[in-house]
Amino acid sequence: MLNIDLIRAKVLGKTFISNIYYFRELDSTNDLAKKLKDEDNVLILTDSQTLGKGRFERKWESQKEKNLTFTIKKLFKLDDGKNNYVNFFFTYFLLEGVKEFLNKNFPDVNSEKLQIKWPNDILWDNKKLSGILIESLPNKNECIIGIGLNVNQKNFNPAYKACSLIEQTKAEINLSKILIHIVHCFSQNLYMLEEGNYDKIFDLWKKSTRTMGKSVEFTDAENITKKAKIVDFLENGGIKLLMKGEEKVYYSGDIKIQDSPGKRVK
Amino acid sequence: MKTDLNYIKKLIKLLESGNINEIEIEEEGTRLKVVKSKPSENSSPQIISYSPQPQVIQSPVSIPPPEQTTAVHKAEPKAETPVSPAGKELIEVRSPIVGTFYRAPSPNAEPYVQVGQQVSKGTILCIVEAMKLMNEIECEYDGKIVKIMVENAQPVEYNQVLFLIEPL
Repeated sequence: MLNIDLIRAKVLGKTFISNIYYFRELDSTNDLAKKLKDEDNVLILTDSQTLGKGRFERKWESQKEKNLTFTIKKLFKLDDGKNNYVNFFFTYFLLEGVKEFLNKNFPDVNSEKLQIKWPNDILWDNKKLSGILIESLPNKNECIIGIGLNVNQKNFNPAYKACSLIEQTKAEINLSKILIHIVHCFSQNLYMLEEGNYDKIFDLWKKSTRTMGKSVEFTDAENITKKAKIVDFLENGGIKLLMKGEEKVYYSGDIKIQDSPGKRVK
Repeated sequence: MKTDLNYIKKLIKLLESGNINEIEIEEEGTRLKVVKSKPSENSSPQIISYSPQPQVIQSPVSIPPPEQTTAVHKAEPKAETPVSPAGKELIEVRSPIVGTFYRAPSPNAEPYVQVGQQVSKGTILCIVEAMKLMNEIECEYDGKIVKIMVENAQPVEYNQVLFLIEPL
């Protein structure tokens, strides 16, 4: 159970968040954020998200009181066509916030194993640790940033290649403390987005992908899966893939990173 | 040949009322062709070409996408703003980002809007996705969807026209 008094004390007035909504149980933090009309700098928290969702209303499953499921609602007055930097920003600084927290509290854990999978998943050893769903109303400059971070959950549906932080730390993590750390990490770096420091945000994000040149299975927007190799990531959010000798750029789809040949059991 | 707007409107009504898909009239050096577009895209007829010189015929495929509307295309001068069959100027809804265009919130869900549907300010028209950032495009006017310019799950460029809306 989140310590809401501690979170309020450490977040309100000390970060960009000006209002916190907390629920013991909630269907979806993103859906609630959508209902809060004309509110800015809001943090929505729940101990148990019952209808968590991912892209295209796919389910995001999370055991009660084991993980972080939260949403930030913020208005961004970004330059035209730059909304994708919200995604680069929150993905990178979520990774950075988790990394800093581990380095401070669990120095024996090798946090360098954290990496970004295009466009906004965070992996540990090629297993999904975190997912982000951003829903935006561009003509209102409104962004709803939903984050799921697996923290203390030990068992996952084998259908998903998922993992949590406890597998690395071997000890329970205080959910309120890691959340406070992550929100502070966003808050301290938010100036980059607000000042339009786009190149820097993109560079930080790109360096953390560490998947350039990797072989992947790519499933496109029409649900067709093809083998490909990652050639580059573009500032407009696209991924450049090499498929059958031809380079193509995609803005949507899923990549599944193939294990390197050296790791395969022959 | 009478080529005024009322005459063209009469031809459009004729197409709408019956099982006719195409009307082509050539008279005194003027050719007018009115074609009904596919029902899935647009149920209202479309004037493909109107040419005062019979030898200058615009082929349907040569019309660039932003002008492929229910507009009257004269060879000269070119119509700058698309207009509806009723003669109203149409509003273009453009993509705010580069991305992938989706007509529905999920593959199995109903599309947000259909051609002919009345929409109001705040109605969600579609999603343009880039990097799993789902940009919900809201309608900023009260009106009627006249044409959907992009197929589902296709890439769109920044500022590309997505919908044509006839304001109320």
